[in-house]
Amino acid sequence: MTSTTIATANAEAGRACLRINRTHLAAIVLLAPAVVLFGVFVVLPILQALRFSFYDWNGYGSPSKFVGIENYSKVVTQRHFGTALRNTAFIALVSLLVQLPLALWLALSLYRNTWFTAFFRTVFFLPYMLAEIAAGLMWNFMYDGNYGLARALSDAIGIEPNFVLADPAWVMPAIAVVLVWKYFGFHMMIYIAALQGIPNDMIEAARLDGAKPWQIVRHIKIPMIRSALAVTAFFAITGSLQLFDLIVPLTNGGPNNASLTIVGFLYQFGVTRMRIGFGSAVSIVLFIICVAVSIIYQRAARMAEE
Amino acid sequence: MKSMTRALCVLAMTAHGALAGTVEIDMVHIQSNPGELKLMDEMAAAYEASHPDVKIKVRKFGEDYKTMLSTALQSEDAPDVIYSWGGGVLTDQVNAGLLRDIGGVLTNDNKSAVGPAGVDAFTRDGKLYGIAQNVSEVVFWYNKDLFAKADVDVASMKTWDGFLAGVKKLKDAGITPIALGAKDKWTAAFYWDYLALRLAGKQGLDLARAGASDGFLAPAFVKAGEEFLKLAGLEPFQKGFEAAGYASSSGVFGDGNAAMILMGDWNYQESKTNSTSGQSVPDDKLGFFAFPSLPDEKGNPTDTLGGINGWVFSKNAPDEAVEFVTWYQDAANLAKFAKGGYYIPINVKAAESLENPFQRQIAKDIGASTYHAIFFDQSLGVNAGSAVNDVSSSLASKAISAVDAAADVEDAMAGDR
Amino acid sequence: MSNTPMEERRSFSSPGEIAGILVVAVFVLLPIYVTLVGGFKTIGELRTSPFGLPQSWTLSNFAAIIGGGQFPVMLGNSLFVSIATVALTVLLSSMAAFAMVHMKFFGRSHLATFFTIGLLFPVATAILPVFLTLRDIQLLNSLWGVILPQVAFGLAFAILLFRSFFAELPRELIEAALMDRCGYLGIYWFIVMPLSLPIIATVGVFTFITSWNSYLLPLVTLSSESQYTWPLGMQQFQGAYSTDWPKLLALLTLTLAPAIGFFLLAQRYIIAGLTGGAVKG
Repeated sequence: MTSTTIATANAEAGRACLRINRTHLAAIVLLAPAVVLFGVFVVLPILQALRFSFYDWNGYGSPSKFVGIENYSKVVTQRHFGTALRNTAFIALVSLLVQLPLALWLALSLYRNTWFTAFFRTVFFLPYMLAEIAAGLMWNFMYDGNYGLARALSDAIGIEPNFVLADPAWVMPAIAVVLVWKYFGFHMMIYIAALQGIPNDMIEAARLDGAKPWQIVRHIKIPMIRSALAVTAFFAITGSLQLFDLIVPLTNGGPNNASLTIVGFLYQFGVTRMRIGFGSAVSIVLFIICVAVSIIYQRAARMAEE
Repeated sequence: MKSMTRALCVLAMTAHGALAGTVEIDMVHIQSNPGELKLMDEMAAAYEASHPDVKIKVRKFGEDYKTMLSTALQSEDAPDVIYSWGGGVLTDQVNAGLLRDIGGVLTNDNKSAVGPAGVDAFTRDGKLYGIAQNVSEVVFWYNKDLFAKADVDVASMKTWDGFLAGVKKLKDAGITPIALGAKDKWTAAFYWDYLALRLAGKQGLDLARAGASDGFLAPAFVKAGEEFLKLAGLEPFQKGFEAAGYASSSGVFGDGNAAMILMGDWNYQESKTNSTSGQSVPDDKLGFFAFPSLPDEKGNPTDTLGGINGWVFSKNAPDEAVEFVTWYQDAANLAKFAKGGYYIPINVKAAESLENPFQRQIAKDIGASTYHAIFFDQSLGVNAGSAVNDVSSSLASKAISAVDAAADVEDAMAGDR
Repeated sequence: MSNTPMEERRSFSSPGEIAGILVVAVFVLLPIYVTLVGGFKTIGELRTSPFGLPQSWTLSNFAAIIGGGQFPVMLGNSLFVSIATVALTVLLSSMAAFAMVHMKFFGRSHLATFFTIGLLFPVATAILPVFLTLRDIQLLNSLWGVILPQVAFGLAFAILLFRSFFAELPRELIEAALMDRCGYLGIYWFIVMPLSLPIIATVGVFTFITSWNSYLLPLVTLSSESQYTWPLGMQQFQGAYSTDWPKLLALLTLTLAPAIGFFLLAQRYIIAGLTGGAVKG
């Protein structure tokens, strides 16, 4: 080893060192804003919600009245919380059992690229683009027994107009219709992307083997888009857990809290009444449900892959 | 060059000085009548003209005023002058240290102009936090034509039993007896408020609020729920009332599609705005009567429910803000609002300028009131007040038992005591 | 897929299937159609024929809203919030994603997990503490109080999209640039970002829509009308004019029209974002 090589090696090392430091500095510059913002407005609030949920606090001053798990027991025993859970579960079920099959059927019909399919895909995706607030208001008009579809229908049959949004028995199905209307196009698009990824040879080969169209759907297409199915199921459930904006212009949780969802409950009894402790307890319950859903989803996805 | 820089400096300093000498007053409210809004702006402009150092910004808040206000009061640019309904909400704000004690700035003349009830409404722990401006009263408005058609005599509506019989008669005649917009829960709460006020009386309400003798679980409040259910059992409200808001229900009454509406004096104007014709029920067909009295009531048939509203000041509000509002509340200025019929001023002298016969009568009624109870959703505070609203709309559609209703209110109240 | 065999193409359009598709299309379009024509009708006409074309195309409802003063303010606020949210989200998430994909540092893998938390739960779970945080830093009733939490909650999804895009970029490119003594910040800004325009468009369009439509966060944080975004304004209109459907429908039309136009223009990126995020997520 000559002295020059040693010198070069040293210089190399020195530069590497320098680079590591510079690299770290650059990494900090690049990452810090995102990490700080995310920490302040996402992670920290969750931790704070956890803390506040053990206090009785109206948000003024600082929390001082520690009440243990009292807020949680209040949430669980609150009469309307059961309604909110049931409604959320109902929405999730409708999403899974009505919306996804509808989306799948349309995707199977429309996944190939022609002007006909492109047109209808755009039409079906349109409601997803509209704001929940606007979509809800639109449907509020459709359901208004003095005007709209409800009036036209009942006039046609010759009965007294029905106010579905005022009827505790019908309000959730009515909301479910709007939900399907708003979101099935979204799920359809995901299926279409997945269906377009299936190699054509596979389908051709099956056809040459004499498989009927429905057999191809059943044994090739559906198994091939399994991961898309799982993803949409996940979205459908988490979407149901967050449902709020759409309901505000329709019923605002009424009649008599019959259409409260979990977030609606949180807004009604936590935010507007400024009961930070109680509301935080609801948040934490919602958080736990979300975590549970995603753990189950990941388990299921892994099992499906194996 | 140098002299020019200096000139610029001087100019900048003067400009700065002018700015520093200007006090900006931020005033927020929820009034919506265009005529009233215009008058408010004119008042502000007039005051600015005579006080060049004061700048007044009048801002209108949205429908969610009460919720929004708690946001605004806690934000950095908290408004200086705030329209307030008083009550428990005011107490919360005072306890949180958000408001300014203005007792020192007001003169005795200012105080006597609003009368003892006006001072009381904005006093907490002996300190005065606001200036009362207007009063309102909730009454049964009714359509004389529809009453005649169903052969209902308004005199028979004085008692609760007579009232229920009248409702039945209207219903039998194919007329919707009452318009209600229960999607806005406070509209239903007026029934529970009045029934509780009649049955428990002032003393009973004060005891319940303090938590004495079972609080809101006391028999009088359960009874209030039962009586409300009795009324709801007659299905007196228009179809779809559960999904209708206040605006819609005032339109139903204004269009002559319901015989009555239990609502504040402001409904006179609102029914016009919301009726299809824009005219509402013509004045000669329109009447009102007080909420009926009940058997075994502890309250007085002349007790009234309504509001005493006014202006409060956030903790950093300057003296100029208080001075402006006292000027704004001067009898001569208030008289202009009274003349326009926008509200009933608490100031008796200004109230003489009321031209609308209905408002004159209501002003007289409030003057003769034995106890003017503030809307419960204000007087009980945000939490219990919301609970009253919530159970009332449920009672209107028979979705809750009277006992559960009382228990919900008591639970909410218990958290705040 | 131009090479689709003829039989395949024919097999999907059975009459029954087409009928089904048409029924769904009517179901989707009916409310939108009723809204678009409703704003031109009088209230009486709306009652007697909600589905017919208006007898005369009266513009008074539209004029009243546009001239009302509040409407342009609301749109302006929404536009400001959405543009600022998009700019910040794209910038912060691409920076972070670049560092997470192309740089080696301690805790890199943990960071990915840290951000996935944001995918798990909605803004609603944190709304009360976010409100209090905004109060403490005095951003209540300020548009920035809407923008910053919105960016924070959008980061998780945006970072996910950027990470999967950056991972596909040829590594040699970055290494070559490093050899040329180009620092990481320079690589990010001068090399990676110009190559990332498709993903920037996707994230941008997607963030824009979410922000433009968002309701809960503005509802809780904004209090004065001058700060309202359009969904809040619309809610308020509904409260104030609940009997005046023609006016409400006209307002809906005025807000829907730009949304639909934007959608038709940006459709490609929206769908790319959806499917990209969905498949990778």
